[in-house]
Amino acid sequence: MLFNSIVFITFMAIVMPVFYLLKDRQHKKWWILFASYFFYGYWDWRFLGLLIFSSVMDFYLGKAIFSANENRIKKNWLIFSLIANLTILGVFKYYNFFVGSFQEMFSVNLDFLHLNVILPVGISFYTFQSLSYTFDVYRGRMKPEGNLLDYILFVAFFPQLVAGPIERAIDLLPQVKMLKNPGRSGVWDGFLLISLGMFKKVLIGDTIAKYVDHVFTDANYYSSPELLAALLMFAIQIYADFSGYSNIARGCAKLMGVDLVINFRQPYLSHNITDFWRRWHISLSSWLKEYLYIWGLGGNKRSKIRTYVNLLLTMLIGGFWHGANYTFIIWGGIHGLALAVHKWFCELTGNPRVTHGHYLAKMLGGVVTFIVVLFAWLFFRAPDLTTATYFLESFIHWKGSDLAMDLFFITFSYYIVSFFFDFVEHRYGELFMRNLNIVYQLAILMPVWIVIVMYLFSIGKPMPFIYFQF
Amino acid sequence: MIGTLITVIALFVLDQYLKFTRITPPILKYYHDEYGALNVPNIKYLKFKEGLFLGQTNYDGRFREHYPKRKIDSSTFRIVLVGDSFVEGIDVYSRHHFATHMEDIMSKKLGNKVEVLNFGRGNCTLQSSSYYYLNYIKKEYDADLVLFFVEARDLSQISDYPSTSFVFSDSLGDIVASKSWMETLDFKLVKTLKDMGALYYLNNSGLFRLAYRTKSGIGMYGFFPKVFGKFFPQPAVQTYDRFEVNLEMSKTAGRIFDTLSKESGPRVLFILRNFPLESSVLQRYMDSVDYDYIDLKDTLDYKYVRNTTDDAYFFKATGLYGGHWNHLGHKAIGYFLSNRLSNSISRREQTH
Repeated sequence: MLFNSIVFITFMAIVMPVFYLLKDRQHKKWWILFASYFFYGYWDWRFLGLLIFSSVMDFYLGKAIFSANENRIKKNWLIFSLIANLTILGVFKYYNFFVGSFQEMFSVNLDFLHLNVILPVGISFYTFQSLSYTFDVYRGRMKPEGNLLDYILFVAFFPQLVAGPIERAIDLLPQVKMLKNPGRSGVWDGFLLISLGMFKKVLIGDTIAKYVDHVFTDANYYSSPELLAALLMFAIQIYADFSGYSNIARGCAKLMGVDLVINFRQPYLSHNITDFWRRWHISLSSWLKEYLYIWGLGGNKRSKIRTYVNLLLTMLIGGFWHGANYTFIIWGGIHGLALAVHKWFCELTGNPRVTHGHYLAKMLGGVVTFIVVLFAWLFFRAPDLTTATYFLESFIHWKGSDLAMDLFFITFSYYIVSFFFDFVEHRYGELFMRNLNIVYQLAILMPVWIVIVMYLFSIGKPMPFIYFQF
Repeated sequence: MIGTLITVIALFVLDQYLKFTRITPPILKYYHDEYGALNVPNIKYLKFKEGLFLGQTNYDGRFREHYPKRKIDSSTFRIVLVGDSFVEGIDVYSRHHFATHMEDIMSKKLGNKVEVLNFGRGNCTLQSSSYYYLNYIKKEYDADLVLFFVEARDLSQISDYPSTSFVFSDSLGDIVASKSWMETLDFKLVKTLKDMGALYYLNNSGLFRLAYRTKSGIGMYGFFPKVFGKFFPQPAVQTYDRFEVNLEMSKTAGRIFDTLSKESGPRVLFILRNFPLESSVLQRYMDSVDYDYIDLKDTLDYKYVRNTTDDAYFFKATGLYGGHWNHLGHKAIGYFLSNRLSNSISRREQTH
């Protein structure tokens, strides 16, 4: 089920009143668990079993890790959890990619080995979420969850099940255990977040996607300014799409008294690439930093060269997490290289603080960072390397288009709106909304919702979230 | 009071946002007193459906070119295209339209400038496009050759397009003009709004355009299927599987073909299309009365470009079949018609 659909509004209109009317906390949990499985199963009920199996497996593995007497046995259980989770992920997401790559590399026919599988929605997200639980139990950061219902609800919690934020068990589990009615301010905050998210997803992300999808799919029919416009628009699309989704997820969770992590903090205003990764998809970048970069690879505790290699490796794996395609690996590699270069530069200039510097230097840094990020987005979005190469060749051998001015105008309009929303949301949103009478807030929100609903009725199928494919 | 003002401001801001980002493109049609629904001239238009189009209509509501009504240079060879949304072709950019391919190829082959004017209009049938051609295009425009695109659905007796159409009158034994579109609720509403002086503002309002599209969307996709999703029967999706239909030649269509072929003026050539319905009725009729025609079956084998696996109708980006030619389809049609017509024109010139 997609957040940006009329049927989701119907879903919430049924789920939330029942949640509020139920008095017993256990009943609330069972109801939300049922709603979560319904939400997931609406997409494809056949993969519910996989979700339930994965959740139950990690619940018992967490107990096994904790109750093991020797470190060696603890480690073995941890490795078992890692292998089991990554095998499930690998089979559905990466198996065909490796078979195909092997075929190409060695020119052998291995078509018979290809599996006819659909990628289960959200598998990358709930796998990482489950792994964070077993990792934290192993590291002694938390005790294993004793209640199966609480644990499977933590994994299946519908606001963040299919596209994050990737929540740590240590943060989300205690909240899920205490599911409650949030009170009037919590409900209102939730509604505001959902409204903001819906506007960003439906009226920015989805509308801009129509142009972007056409151009990236049939790139060879478009000229240089049209391709550049599509790339610039994609930068807005992915931000509006994903941050909008995260807003809706946080809003839905807030309606149940749960606080999810903030996933974005004005990433396009970053002064450098390190800053960017503290503002973009924060739940994933912090997961990768803590569990892979620091704990797994040693972080910056070893030699300088090793630190740069660790950064590159972390981002390559981060890229690969997004999808089984060389374009995602290249995307991760570009970011890894940029992070390494930035780290080296900071060490060279003796400037260890990420955001320190004269405002002109920050501005220049911001522009350079945006260009690097935009360049990387090309590989992220392009369906294959051929398309990405075509884009780059078109930028080098520039050919004009009589549609350039029109496209510039449309692109500029979207940028203005997106930056305005971003600014309002992160700098003055809360202040504004807290001080504004609720009647006036409704006076703004009602027309927005009317337009959103009208738009959703005017289209055929709603656009899926970009991160659903991961 | 302040709440109402805030709502009005919010609506205004949303209205402008919808307009500037082209989320709601302008309403393309207006009602002409004589001809009914025509394209609005001089508007920028953005269309996302199965394909993508960005462009502008000219002084006379046509896309793609700004040729004047009369030829500037008498040596220019001018082709006029008449038809429906297939001909209008606003699912691809103008430079990918088959008319552009025709101009490029035929100019080179014939050695002189070729202009192709596109009078295709979405949802238009033979009954309405022929009326428009005979009463307007033919009188106002220079043309050396007219390509009339027709398909099996044009044999239907009734045209539901809100445009002045030919219908067959049994009492008169001939085709007569019908302005039944003037009786429709849509026209009456538009006329009332126009008389009130509100139509201009509404047409330029992003919110009104969105409301218009919402109405169309509900009509197309349903209200309850959207609200209840999979738990409510969803509207059937048209599948473009090949099947032959048995149709009969209608009196109206027969009389129209007759009039178009025999009227003095530029040569009229019928272009037969066999998608989405395949029917040999048109081809058999054309053969029986010896009208000039070109059958697109010679280049398109139903959905595919002949001798290839290239689908001429499928749009990869949206995964949709809207029933219109994609880039490959336009290229195939453009190349095919250019070669056929260039050869035919060269032969005629040699004969003369």
